[in-house]
Amino acid sequence: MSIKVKNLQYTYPKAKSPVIKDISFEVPDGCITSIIGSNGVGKSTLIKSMIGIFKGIGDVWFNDENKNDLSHRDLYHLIGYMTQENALLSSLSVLDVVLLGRLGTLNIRVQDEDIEKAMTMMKLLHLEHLQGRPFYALSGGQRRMVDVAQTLVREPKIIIMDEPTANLDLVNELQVLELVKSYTRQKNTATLLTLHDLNLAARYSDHLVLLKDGVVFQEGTPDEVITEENIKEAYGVEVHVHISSKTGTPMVLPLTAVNKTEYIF
Amino acid sequence: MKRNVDNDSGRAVYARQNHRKYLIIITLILLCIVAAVLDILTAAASPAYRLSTKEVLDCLIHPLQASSAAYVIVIKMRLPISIMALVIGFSLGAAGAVMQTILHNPLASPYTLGVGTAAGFGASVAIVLGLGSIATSAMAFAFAMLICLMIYFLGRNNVNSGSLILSGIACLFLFQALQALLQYGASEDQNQSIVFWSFGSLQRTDWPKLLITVIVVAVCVPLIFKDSWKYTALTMGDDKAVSLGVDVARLKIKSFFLISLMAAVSVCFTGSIGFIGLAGPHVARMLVGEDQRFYLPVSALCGAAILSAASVISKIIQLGSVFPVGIVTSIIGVPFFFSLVFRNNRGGKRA
Repeated sequence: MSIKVKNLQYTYPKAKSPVIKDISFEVPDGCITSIIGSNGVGKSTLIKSMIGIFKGIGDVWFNDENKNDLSHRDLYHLIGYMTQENALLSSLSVLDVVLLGRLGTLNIRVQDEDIEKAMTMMKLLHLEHLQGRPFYALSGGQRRMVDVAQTLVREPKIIIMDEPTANLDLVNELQVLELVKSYTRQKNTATLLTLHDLNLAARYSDHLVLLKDGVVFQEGTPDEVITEENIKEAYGVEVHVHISSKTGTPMVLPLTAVNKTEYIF
Repeated sequence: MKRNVDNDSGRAVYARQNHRKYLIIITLILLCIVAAVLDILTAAASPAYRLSTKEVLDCLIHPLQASSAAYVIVIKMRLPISIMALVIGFSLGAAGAVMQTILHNPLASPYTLGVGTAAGFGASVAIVLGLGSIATSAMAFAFAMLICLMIYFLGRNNVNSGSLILSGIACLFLFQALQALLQYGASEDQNQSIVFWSFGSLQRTDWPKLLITVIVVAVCVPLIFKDSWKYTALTMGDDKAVSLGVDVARLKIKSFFLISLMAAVSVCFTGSIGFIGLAGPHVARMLVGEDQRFYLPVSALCGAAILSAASVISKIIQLGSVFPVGIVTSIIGVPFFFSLVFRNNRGGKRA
C-alpha cells in the first residue's frame, strides 16, 4: 500500500514560479513518513497536489496504481485524508460527524456496522462521552480529535494527515500519534503526516522528508535529517540537537534565529 | 488497539438521538394532510356555489356518484389546487434547502436569487406578444432555467464564496429592469395581465399542469434525497467534504440543475410564490438541525404545509374571492426573514 511521488510540481494560478518543484519520495508500507519544513514551504500544497485537489504536474502512485487511473470514489476509498482546514461549525452530533468518515458505505438508514465502528473509534480516542454533543460546542482540540476519529473510522489503507496534532494538548498529541502508529504497524498502511513539532516528528516517524524552497532538502531517518546543520539551513534557526536518553530520538532545542531581529519599542 | 469495547448499545444510542426527528416528520405529514383537506373544504366562491362539508367529502370518496356541479367544483377545481399547493410547497422547500446547503448561506433560496422574477419576465414577454397560456408557462419556465444557468456560469469560478449569491442578485436586478422596460411599453390590458400573473396564484391549476409538476418533482426529489449524506458532509465545509470523498464540484452542478428544474416548474404555472424556499429550510433547521437526511424532507414538508395553509388563508381573507397566494406567503415570510436576520446578528450559531 505504498505511496510513490515522482517529479511533482505545482504552481498556484497567477503565480510566477512553482511552490513545489520536482518533488520525489516514497512512503513504504507499515511506516510513518513525515514532511517537515518551515511555514509556507509547501507542505500542505504538496499533499493537496498528491491527492489531486490541486492539479500538479508529475506522477503519484497509490498502492502501485497511478492516481490518474483511479476514480474519485476509489481514490478516497483508499485514502484516509485529514485536512488542516477546520470544518465549519455544524450542529451535527459528534457521532454523526464521525459517521461521515464512512461516507462511502453510509445508507439513508445507517447500518449497525457503521455505528459500531464509529463508537469503537470514539472510545479509542476517549471521545465516547461527547457522542451526543453538537460539534460546534467542542473545543478546538476536541474537534481535532473528532477529525482524527473521522479519518480512521473508514479503515483506510493509506493515511494522509495534514497537521494532525494542531491545537492538541500534550496528552492528546501523544494519544493521536500513538494511535496512528499502532494503526500503521498493525494494518501495514503507508502513512504520511505533516508535522510542525520536530521533536514529535523525530519520535514518531520512521522517515522524514525535510522541505526547503519547494524541494526535498534532505530525507532519511530522523537521526539523519534532524541535525543542527539541516535545521539551520531549512528553518534559519540555530539549534542544539541531542539524542534523548529516554526516547533514543533526536531532540531539538531552539537557540536563536539566524537573522535575529532587534526589537526596539 | 488493545482496548476492548462493547458495542451493544450503538444502535440504541443512535436511535435515541434521532427518535424525535422521526416524530417531527410524521407530525408534518399529518399537518400537510390536514391542511390539504381544509384547503379542499374551504370555499372561495360565492354562497350560491357553496358545498357542505359532507357533500365535499362524499364527492371525494365517491366521485362518480356526485352531482355534476359538485364533481366540477371538487374534482376538477379544488382537488388539483390543493394537491398543487402541497407539491409546489414541497418542491420549493426542498429546492431552498439544497440551495442553502450548497451555498452555505441561510438567505439563499430560488426566490431571493431571482428565479421568480425571471419567470415573471418570461411570462410578461409571452403576454405582450399575445401568446396563449401554454406558451406563457413555457416562457416562464425557459426564463427561470435561464437565470439559473446565468447565476451558475457567472459564479462558478468561485462556487464556495458568496459570488453565486451575488451573481443571483445581479441577475435579479437585470430581470427587474427588463420587466420594467417591458411594462413601460405594454398596453393597459397587457399590464393588467402581467401584474395578475406576477402575484402568484394557484387558481390557474388544472390536472395536466399538476401532472407535469408532480412528474418533475417525483424525478428530482429522489435524486436529491439519495445524496443526503453527501449534503451533510457539505455542511461541514467544501474542504472537509472533499477530504471525506465527496466530488464537491460535481455534486454542486448536479444539485443546481435539479433545483433549477424544480423551482422553474414550480413558478411557471403559478407565478412567483415567495419565501416558501426561505421559510421551509429555516424552520427545518430549527426543528432537526443539519443532518440532511432529516433536514431536506422536513424542509420540503414545511414548505408543503405552509403553502397549503396559505392557500386556505388566501380563500378566507376576503369572502367570495381568492386572494393571490403569493401575497399571503410573502406576508407570512416577512417575520421569518426578520427572525433569520436577528439570529445572525446575535452571533449565535444556527440551531
